[in-house]
Amino acid sequence: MHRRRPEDVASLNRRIRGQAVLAQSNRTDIDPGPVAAGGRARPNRAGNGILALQAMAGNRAVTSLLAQREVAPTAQDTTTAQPSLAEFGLTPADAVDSELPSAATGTTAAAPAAESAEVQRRAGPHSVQRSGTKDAVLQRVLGSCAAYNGYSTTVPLASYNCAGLAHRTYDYKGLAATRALLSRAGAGSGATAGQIKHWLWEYDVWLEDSTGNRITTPSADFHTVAGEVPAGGGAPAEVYSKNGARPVFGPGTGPSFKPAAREQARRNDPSDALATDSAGRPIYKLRQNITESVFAVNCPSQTAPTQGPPAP
Amino acid sequence: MTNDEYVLPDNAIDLRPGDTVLANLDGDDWRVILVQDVIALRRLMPFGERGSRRFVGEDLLRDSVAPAWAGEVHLLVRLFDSRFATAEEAGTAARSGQLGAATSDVCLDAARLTTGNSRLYNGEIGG
Repeated sequence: MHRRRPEDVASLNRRIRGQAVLAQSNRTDIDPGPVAAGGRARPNRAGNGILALQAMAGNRAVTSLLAQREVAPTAQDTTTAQPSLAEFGLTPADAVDSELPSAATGTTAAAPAAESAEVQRRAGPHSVQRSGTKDAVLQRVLGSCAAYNGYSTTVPLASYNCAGLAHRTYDYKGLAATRALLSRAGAGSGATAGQIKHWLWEYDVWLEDSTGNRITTPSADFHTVAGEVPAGGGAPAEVYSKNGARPVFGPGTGPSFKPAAREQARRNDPSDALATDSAGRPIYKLRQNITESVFAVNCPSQTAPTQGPPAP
Repeated sequence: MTNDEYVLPDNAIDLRPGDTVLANLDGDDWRVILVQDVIALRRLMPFGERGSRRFVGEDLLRDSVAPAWAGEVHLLVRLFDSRFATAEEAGTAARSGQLGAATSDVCLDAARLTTGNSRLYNGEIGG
């Protein structure tokens, strides 16, 4: 566990500025960097695009950038659309890495601001922005499998989990149902262009308090994501992730959504709020015995996702 | 449906708090049930060692496994002890207030009161 040192803030600001431009270009070349279970993007040491910006500066930053993209789509204009921490009302202290503090320190991580949570709830999908009263979908490089060209933003977030998203059925699938669907799949290593590559992680999860004491017994759980193998093969980059009833994050690569071994727990609802005990100390979620399976399935005969105002 | 909405199962009878239901729950006798409240259940897990007297919501722990009873509708009911051979007899007893003792705050899965084994009683409960 480590935190970003204060002297990194200047470079962080530079990186955000760089990503402001990047966000207004083709997004498919963005490396999402490491992402915690369920898809919370975390900044990494290399530039990792808008996911890092979202994690560091909040959804307001992302929304702002995306709105600016609509208003100022030209290359020249992008030079004026360079947000800094201050523009988002952040201090350098806000720019520390979102990775967790050491349990020994018992440092309390600040819960996201209500506005940020609201923006995330409403515009949580990275593919959707709010511009005034009109919602719009960012342009991305679309694949040949219609159902996996983004995801439906009109389905209430609380009504489906990672498996419902990975299979684009938008329901709450348990592990048994998920395994059953993937049991007919081929090995992920043989995935070809146009096929859907699925990642499935199974593990034990429990909660710890801020001093490292286990406060619940381990329980079996899982996480899964999927994305279309692009034309020409290679790793899917249009992968979206969702953890329980929490928001959708992405796009990113499949492995970037591998569950984290330790992170601060978040409420299992679209608010995705950080969890604390009654004294305000963070509650952590730990995962162990993580196994990974990768599958390749043919594109399902589903229609393209429904886009519209994000459902809460 | 929004995140805050709950929907009764398709085969459940349409219930509201305050409704009286004539139900044949065990496939044998009919009973009279007063719906006190419509509720959702959330499992709580012990938080730390015994003695802490604290609990945490199971949903916080869960990643993709659905928490127990997630999205389900339950009822708090007043369950009358008297049993009847038919729904009509149960209704008659309700009108006359001959229902005997009852147990309040009984938790019942709304899915158990189906259109096949239950019916709404529209009259007053006498007595």
